[in-house]
Amino acid sequence: MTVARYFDGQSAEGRTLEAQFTPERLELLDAENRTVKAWALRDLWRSAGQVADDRLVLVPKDAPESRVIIDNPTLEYLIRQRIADLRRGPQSRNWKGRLGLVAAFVAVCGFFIFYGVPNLAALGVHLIPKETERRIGEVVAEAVPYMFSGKPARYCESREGRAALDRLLARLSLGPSSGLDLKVRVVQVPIANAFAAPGGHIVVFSGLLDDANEPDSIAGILAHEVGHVIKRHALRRWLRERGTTGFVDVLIGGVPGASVLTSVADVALGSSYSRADEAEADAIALDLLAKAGISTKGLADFFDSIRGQGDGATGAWWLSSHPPTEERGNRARAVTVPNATPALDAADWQALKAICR
Amino acid sequence: MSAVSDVPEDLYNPTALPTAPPDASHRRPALAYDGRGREVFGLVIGNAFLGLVTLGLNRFWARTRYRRYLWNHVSFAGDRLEYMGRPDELMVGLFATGAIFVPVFVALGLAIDLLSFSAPPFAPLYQAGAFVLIFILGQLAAFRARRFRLSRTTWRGLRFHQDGSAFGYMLRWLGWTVLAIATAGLTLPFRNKSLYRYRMRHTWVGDQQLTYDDDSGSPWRLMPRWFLCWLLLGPTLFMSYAWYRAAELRHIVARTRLGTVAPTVVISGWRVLKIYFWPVVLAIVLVIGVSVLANWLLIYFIGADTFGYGLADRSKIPPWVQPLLQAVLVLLVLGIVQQFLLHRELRAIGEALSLEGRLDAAVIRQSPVRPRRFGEGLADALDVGGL
Ligand SMILES: [Zn+2]
Repeated sequence: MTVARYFDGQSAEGRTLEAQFTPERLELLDAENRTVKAWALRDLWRSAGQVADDRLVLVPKDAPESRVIIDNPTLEYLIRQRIADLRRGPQSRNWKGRLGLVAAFVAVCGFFIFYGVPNLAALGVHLIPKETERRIGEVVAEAVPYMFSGKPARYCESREGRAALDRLLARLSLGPSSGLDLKVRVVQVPIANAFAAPGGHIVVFSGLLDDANEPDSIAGILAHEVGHVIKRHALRRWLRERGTTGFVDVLIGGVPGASVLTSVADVALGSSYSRADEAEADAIALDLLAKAGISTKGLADFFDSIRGQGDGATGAWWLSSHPPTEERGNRARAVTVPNATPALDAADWQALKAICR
Repeated sequence: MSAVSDVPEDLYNPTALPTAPPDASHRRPALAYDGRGREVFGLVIGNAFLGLVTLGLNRFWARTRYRRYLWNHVSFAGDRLEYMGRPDELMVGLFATGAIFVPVFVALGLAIDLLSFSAPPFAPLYQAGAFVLIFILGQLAAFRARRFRLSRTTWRGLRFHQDGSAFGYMLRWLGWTVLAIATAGLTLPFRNKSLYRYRMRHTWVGDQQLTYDDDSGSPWRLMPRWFLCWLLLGPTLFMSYAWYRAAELRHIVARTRLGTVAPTVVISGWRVLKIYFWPVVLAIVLVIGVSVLANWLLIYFIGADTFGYGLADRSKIPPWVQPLLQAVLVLLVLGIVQQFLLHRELRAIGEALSLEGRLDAAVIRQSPVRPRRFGEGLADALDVGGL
């Protein structure tokens, strides 16, 4: 005789009954051999919550709060033959449903990160007033050199150097009359780098001036950064990365370690956008150079020179934070400027290079 | 029986089958945990490995599998608890929460950036502030997650249930925690008791509410011991806390009631220490090891600029490699240790508890509260679920 305990889903008090299995059915009989409950086997689940193998717990599909418990592992073996095709339940989905759910999950995440966040960021840029952007840029322009050198930013302001820089900007039609409200500064950091912060702040590291061989390179780089300024790239990128960070934080849990993972996502995702941004800024730069009658070769040479230092690891270039410079160099070389003259005369060039002294 | 023809002959012999187990309903009920460390470890490691392979997408299934195991090895009056939650409920719950909390997180991130950049030396302060804020919010999330888990817990087909306000719990937690900090920890016994009591009093088994017996002694009784332990926290590297914690468990757990069923708790400080000692040591060693392993690369990552548009970057190694490696390994290690720790806690509780009083099963009826459809998203988002 096989004993089953039956709980009706209403009370913790169970009934001890005799279980009779046939190939198709389970019947529960009382002491007088009267049928108390009966189910077709296909109308039963094995309880999804039962994982210990010392008993069999069945759940009627039409009464998922009821339980039929058979405390007997040998019996479990015995009737496994009959209930092999009993599914665990209650469950809502088969493997196709599960796969669909995962696909939907991945799709929504992907859509949000690769489409939603960039577009929301582009939208957000228009919501931020220029004045606010300028103030954000001010603190960023102060803070970034600090991050690179570990010291408060020291700006280089030799009178001759400043004058040369202003002349260079004027030649590129970027002077005060341009309406761009640029604030271009040189900061003493021995790294060949330059960046555009939100709100027209452009910071050139002194290391860049030290490395440059000709004024045309500096003109090209300035024009490139101006491209970022015109398109408000820095602001957009900031909004985008914060959007991604927030999303990934929620997705993987806001534990301390996760924030590192989030930054990783920033870098990996941010770079793929920045390639498009860089191309856009390059296009503007080449345009500005051509209008000013400055050769694009200086910029092309600069791109070539940083190729060796930057994106060295082939295969990883697509994830590194800077676009492939060979392509950029070639694109710059393809633009020919007729009657080009040097961006600065020899005296101004020397003054600019000495701006930090 | 004759219908079953394809099984070995001896199984037909009725005497080979054990007789029906005695119905434990009307005797002293027992609470037991019989999960096996090896099985839990295998489960957790397997989940972690799958998590690596699926980039964490299996988490909803992993969590469900883990809970089913843990729940089902807890038995009360001879019948095992069942975790009836489904992975898709967790997934949808996370989405529902995300719709609210992604904007909150983004706004918080923007605010921290702005504050940090206007006063760089204070940046860590703002970060810490955000962390504290999230941690407090985490208490609300944890309480809501507990509500979901209980609503998916059944015993003999009867659902558990939690009422009470998650917000109220968070406020209590905040108030008591601030007080404990303000008193250098001396009011901790009152805090722990109060929060435990709130959780228990809002827990229902079917239609029966757990109660907390407040009359038989207040936490003042614990104070002499706590004061002594408190003095020794430094010299013993916080291990004296285990000695206090054992007394606290004996005090507060023994005052929990289900009808007339009351637990007695026999647990020593050594036993409490034993639960945590090796997992904590293991976690520290593994996290440090993992961090040191990857740390030398970190310097490259610091150079990554969020705001500027750098033209040149001198790092030779892609900057995301090291932090990715470190974060994944640390999270993995901590997750494994934490889940294993829960098993050890359950095992200790199972050993320590014995129940007194008679259980009248007929009195316990199905919970009248319909369970919510989805849940736990917030706890998932803040990763305070633990389970
Ligand atoms: Zn650029």
